[in-house]
Amino acid sequence: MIVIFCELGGEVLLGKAREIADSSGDRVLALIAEDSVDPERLIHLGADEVLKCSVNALGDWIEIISDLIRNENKLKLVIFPSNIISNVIMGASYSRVRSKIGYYLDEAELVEGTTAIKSFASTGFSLQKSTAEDKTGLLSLKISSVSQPFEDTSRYGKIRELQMKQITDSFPILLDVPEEPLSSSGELTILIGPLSNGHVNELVQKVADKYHSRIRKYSRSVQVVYGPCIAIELYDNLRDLPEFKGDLISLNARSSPIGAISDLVIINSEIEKVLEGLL
Amino acid sequence: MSQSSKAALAFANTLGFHETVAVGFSPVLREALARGATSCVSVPLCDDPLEQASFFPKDDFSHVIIGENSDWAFTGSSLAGIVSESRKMRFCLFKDGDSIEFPERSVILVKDSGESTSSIDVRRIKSSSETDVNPEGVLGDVTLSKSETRRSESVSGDASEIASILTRRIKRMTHA
Repeated sequence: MIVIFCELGGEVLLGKAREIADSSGDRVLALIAEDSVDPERLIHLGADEVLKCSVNALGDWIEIISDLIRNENKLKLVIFPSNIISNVIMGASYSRVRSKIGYYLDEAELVEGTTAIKSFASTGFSLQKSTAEDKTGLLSLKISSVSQPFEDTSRYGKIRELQMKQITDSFPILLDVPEEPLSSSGELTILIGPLSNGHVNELVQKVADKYHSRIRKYSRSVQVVYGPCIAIELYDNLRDLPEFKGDLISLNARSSPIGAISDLVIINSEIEKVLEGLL
Repeated sequence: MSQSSKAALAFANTLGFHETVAVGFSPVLREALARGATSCVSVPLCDDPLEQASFFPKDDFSHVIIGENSDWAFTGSSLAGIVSESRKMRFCLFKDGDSIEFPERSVILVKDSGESTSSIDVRRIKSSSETDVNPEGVLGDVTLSKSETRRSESVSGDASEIASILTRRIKRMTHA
């Protein structure tokens, strides 16, 4: 069985889970809170079964997931969307059921069968973890590394409900949900060069609002950009630029040194028109 | 020392405690002392967060402060979940601009803004370099391999064509 934590944006992982399950013959179980996503939709996205859980607080997930790992013998993978809160829940669950876990990997980019891979783009290395058949792999997968799942409305599946039992010995480790559960490596950053004009800045603000991304004005104090980044009108030398840990798209009116380290180089004199086209 | 660990230490210094213990791999501990830690504990470097947490000192700390460390074998958020659960401490997240009031006995994950932190305190360099730091080993069994070389692509065309390519790329990156 493959379990997908469908809270906190995790439903997009169902397509990947379906792909693995189709080749291994496993079932896909989607976990959601009672008042969360439409369970029928999760079946259309690839789940064989949806477990609606009556959780009162995020910390309750630690109990639910630990119980599943403890009691389900053929549990191959538990996959979370990679973000701060998911990783905290995953880590706390790991702490409870260590003996059942074959490997633990957060912010993974690829999972194939019983192997998961995390890459460090800036160093050119990737890290690989595999698990034995009788153990469970516990991992969080970067949302940006999976494709949108295909919604097939003809799919059928089962929906079950899980009432949270009274927990007396559990300590509520999670205080409350932060507004932005995304980790720094999961959020899109728009880095604007110091020479960009007021109109460009206004357009960038609108683009950032549309794609829920973070704007950073470039200065020497920016040391690292962890997640995917669009750098606009940056003409500094490479040695002066921050370290980019994720995918980098550069958008400039003319050729610039940043092009040498960008995954996608866009040179176009009509930057404002390009930005308008994104809205 | 990683950018996230520097950010965590800089944050710890703002809390104003008399004692801040830096826990980490020996090569970075002298820098931690120069950045404001009052003492240090050398631990092995592990590829597994649960194993890493098992080497933490057992003392009853009022706060355990962890950097986000997105660019390591495991993130600070996983480690924070493990430490919170195993020590029954509440988890809190701190990001720039938040108030710095936290409950007693809490694990605080410091979100890394990627901005430069305060510099090394030159007055501390002498004592930090004279501190004995026990070297510890590296533990783990992960396989590291060379990734495929990143391919760079260039796009050209008119503004609307570029906008359409860029929109697809952004949607893929953000699932917006």
